[in-house]
Amino acid sequence: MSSGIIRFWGVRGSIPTPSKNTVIYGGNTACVSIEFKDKDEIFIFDAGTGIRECGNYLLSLKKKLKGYIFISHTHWDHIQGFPFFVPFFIPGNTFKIFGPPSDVNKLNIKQIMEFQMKYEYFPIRVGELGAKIEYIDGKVGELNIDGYKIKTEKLNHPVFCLAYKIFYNDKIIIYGGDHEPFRNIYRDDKKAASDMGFDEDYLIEYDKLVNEQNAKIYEFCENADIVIWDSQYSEEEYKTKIGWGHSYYEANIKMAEISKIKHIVFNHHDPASSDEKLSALEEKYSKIAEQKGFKLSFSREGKSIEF
Amino acid sequence: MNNIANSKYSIEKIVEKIEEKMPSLSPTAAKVIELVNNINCSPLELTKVIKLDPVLSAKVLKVVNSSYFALPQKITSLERAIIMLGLNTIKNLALSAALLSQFEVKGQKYLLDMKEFWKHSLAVGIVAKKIAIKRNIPKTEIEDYFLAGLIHDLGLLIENIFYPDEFASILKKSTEIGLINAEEEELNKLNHCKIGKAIGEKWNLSQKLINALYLHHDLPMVGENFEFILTISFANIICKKNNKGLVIDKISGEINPIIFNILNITEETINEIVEQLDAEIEKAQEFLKI
Repeated sequence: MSSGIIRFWGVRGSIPTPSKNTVIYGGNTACVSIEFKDKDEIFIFDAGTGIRECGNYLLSLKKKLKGYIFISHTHWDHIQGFPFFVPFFIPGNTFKIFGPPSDVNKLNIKQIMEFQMKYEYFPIRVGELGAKIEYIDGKVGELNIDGYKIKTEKLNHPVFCLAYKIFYNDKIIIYGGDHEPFRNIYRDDKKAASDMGFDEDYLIEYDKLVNEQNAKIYEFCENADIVIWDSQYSEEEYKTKIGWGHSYYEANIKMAEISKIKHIVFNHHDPASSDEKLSALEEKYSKIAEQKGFKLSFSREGKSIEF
Repeated sequence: MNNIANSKYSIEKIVEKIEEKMPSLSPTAAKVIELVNNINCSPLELTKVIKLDPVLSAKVLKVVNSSYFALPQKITSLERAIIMLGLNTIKNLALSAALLSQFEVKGQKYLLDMKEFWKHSLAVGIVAKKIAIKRNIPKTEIEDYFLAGLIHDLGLLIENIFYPDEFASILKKSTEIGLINAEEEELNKLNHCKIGKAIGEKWNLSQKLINALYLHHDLPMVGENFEFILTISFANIICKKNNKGLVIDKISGEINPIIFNILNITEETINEIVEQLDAEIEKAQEFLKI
């Protein structure tokens, strides 16, 4: 007897990639939904271009909608579908939107999300959305939303980015936003380090900090049933993308082992990864995971996982 | 002169509005802009320039200690903050503060000589750090001394931005009589130490840094972290006595010998530190191309 269903509406990172080479895994950007058995509310994670199809699915249910939308961060590939989510236009629907504010530019999540509906960018004004929409600035910690327990953790990405952990009955499901494993940036530039008096003692000190930060992420994911996680690159590809804020397959396999994750879903595929390449990678890495005792799959647009 | 106390310049109002008005210092702005516009910017170079600017340093700590991140302990080290926030966030933060310094905010006058202010801030940071090294303070705490020295006078900058006319009068009188806090209190019932404390609290800085902002004109001999505060106050006195950067309230007379005893440091050691100071400041100027 399942507790609910996870549906993947957009699994691509960075930019939509419609093409004959992305028919199997899909070309829409980040959007995943969760429905719990016996519950009316819909949980949506990120509002990339995939949220449009998610909206169409919800309309097909022909009922008043109550939903929670959790934005991991506000880079385009995670918010661009927002104005195309038709349920927003229907009076009677209610949504609560959570997402990280910008402490750098003093903007709350409402301001950031609504900015893309300004006159110059989109023909419909925010005021014309008929649904009741409430915004809540996300932060690290625990949220209790209408009786649902949700925890958040800060990820390592070039903007404030959150992972969300939902507890439902005895299940733990995690949706991670974009994340690059923490690393000691001071080890990259030995000459500058020595000019600034960073001897090995200092570098070891920062290694410790990096290990602590990574351990925090492992702890957050500990014993989760399903973890949907940024897996944009292979380790080889990552070497030329250091600092871009994304993870790689090998690092995520390590995390799954350490955190004893039952099922890790590699998500946020690189725009350059074709169906052929992703199929081969999925076969390779799911076998490795099987040997290590956990389940691994690659997210595919339009597919779902029951839990 | 109008007494403007309790009117439009309350600490609460200043702290509430300071966010968007607080530029980085002009001596560092060009270097910040040069670095952030380089896509291959070295994190260490950016750290280096941030550590030369009291406003940028405080702003980075403010963001990393933001309640949104719910860290169990306050971060006091810039290097740690940069690992945790990531280079891109730091670049954007630094750029917005640097750009502010390129435009005169409406009605804003700079009465402080920014280069001299910068030199004094840096000098106090360097002296405090060197005293800490001589006292064998653990390596991981050394940078706290530098940072506390660097930012100790943030309150002066804020006064300069919020009430430039009154501040001009404060500067003039303080220079004449050699006492700044008394003049500030007389005119505004506020002083840069109280303002510094309020901004430190608002920005979630560590208690050590808040104390440095608040108590750097005191010479505490007891209490929590008193040796830390005493080091910053002492470094401030040394820099003023030796005319290192901006000096508003000139210090006259001998330094209380008890300070040397408490900090277990000799006058010769302090003289050595002062002798090296110009070279250190020149090195920073060379890096900033100023």
